[in-house]
Amino acid sequence: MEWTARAEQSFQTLKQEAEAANCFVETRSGGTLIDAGWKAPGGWMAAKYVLEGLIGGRGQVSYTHRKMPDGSQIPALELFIDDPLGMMRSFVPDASGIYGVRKDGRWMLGVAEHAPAPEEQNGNVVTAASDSLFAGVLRAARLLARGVMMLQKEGITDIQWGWSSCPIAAMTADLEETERRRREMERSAAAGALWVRGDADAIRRALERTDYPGLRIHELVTAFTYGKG
Amino acid sequence: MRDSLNERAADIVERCILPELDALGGKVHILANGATVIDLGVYAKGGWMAAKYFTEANLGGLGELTYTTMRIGTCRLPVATVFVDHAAIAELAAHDAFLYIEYKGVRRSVSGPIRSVTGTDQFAQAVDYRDPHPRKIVANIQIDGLPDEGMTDLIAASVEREAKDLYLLAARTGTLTGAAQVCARNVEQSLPSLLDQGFPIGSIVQASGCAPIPAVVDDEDLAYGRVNDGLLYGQETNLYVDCAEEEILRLEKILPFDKNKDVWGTPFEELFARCGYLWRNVPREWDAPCRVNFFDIRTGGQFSYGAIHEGVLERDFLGTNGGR
Repeated sequence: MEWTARAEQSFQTLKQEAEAANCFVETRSGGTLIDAGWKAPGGWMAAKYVLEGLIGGRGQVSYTHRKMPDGSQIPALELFIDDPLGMMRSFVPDASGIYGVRKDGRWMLGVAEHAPAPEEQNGNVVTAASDSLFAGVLRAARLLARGVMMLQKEGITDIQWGWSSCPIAAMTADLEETERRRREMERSAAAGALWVRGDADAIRRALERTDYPGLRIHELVTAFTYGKG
Repeated sequence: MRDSLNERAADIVERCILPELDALGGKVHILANGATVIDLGVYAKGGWMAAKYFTEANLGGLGELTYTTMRIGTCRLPVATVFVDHAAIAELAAHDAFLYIEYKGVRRSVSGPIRSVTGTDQFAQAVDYRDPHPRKIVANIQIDGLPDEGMTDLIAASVEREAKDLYLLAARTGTLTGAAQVCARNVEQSLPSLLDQGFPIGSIVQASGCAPIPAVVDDEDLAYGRVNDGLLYGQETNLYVDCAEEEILRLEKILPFDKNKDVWGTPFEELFARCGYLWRNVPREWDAPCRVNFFDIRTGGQFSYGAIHEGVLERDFLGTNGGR
């Protein structure tokens, strides 16, 4: 199935499952808006459907529990991606801040996090506040996409597969505190890897530019593995 | 078990693989003899989902492969997890690679539900299940070149069928498909070893297993070594059995790989080199599971044998340069 078709299928699935997924659906003049974390609580399945669409169905999106240093087991997002470059493109926002999958200028599956509804809507959009669970899960997913982006900026484009595992930091009503917790989780507990073919120096530069200490880059030809720092 | 494993596998091929080749990074080749060869990681890119369907077809549709991660030493590694029903049938009559052909002077092993058509190899013979007349026969092969007409003719003929009836799924070790499908052979590796030791295979009720995927590299020989380390040093199988505890207790020292005290801790890359890179030279005792947990439904007893070697796994994950 084509990427755009898969993305739209995910949106339609979420729309059909909106009540079970704790979302609200609104039909607007430019398209359909699904609230997955403003007035609606949203939740796990909403984020999973959207992520499966953003990766074009090319991989596995799953939740697990990770054991933290204090012994607690907390939820984590795990991704196993067959097309990391494609995934990265889905996370690049347009001028209005919406990211996702477009076809012929319309969103097959767009994601907005900065306002309850885009001023002008053109297609299918899911919206959620930054302090929502939905946003936290997508934030965890975006780590790997950022790693791919850094590699691409250093000229490495032969990026074959990837995986990531990132615990989901608990949300609070204080957005600043929520952000702090998420940054700390990314710094201390997130892990992932990408398999590439490319120049060692370029790989090292890309890693230095990421804020993802747990990321490893495996170079397929030399069988070398690189980490940050 | 009355379902046709080959038909169940063919359904996976026809519903999940062939219509989604682009997304899976696969490619199909219809040969002159009518055989369908599906490249899921020989020259094609393949990936996580290709490995998933490769394995699930290999299991005759009796199990599921999913992925997670686990901590090994200071690193977190991806993991292949398998849950399988009718474990003895799925593994001994399908998933285990014990159908042999000799083609152009090279002996090759083939796995998949095709093995249950005539059940001629010793491990298929350990279970009663047969699938004698499927519409399609499904086979899997780990190989670094595309199977041709001669090879597919041989594979089909080995079960008295024609190549036009064959779906052959292929991947080499030096791809993610190859690495993941090898590491998904966690339960698969345990059952022949149990059979070797005279364990009553019919007492296995349920099974699951996991193994880390420590490395994916282009070089096929290097890949062979590092990927197999995932099994020898990292795979853990859970078996729910209904048998007398004595049948389990006597396995403690003779089942797991760490019984080979002289080689335990040596990377498989090195062990395979000692065998001249030929599987026929690898001692049968080396093809043993890393760790097996028995849960005896009859008595409530729980027994675990074998040990994971984090050092070898972490070394593979950190690569030839040690991760620096």
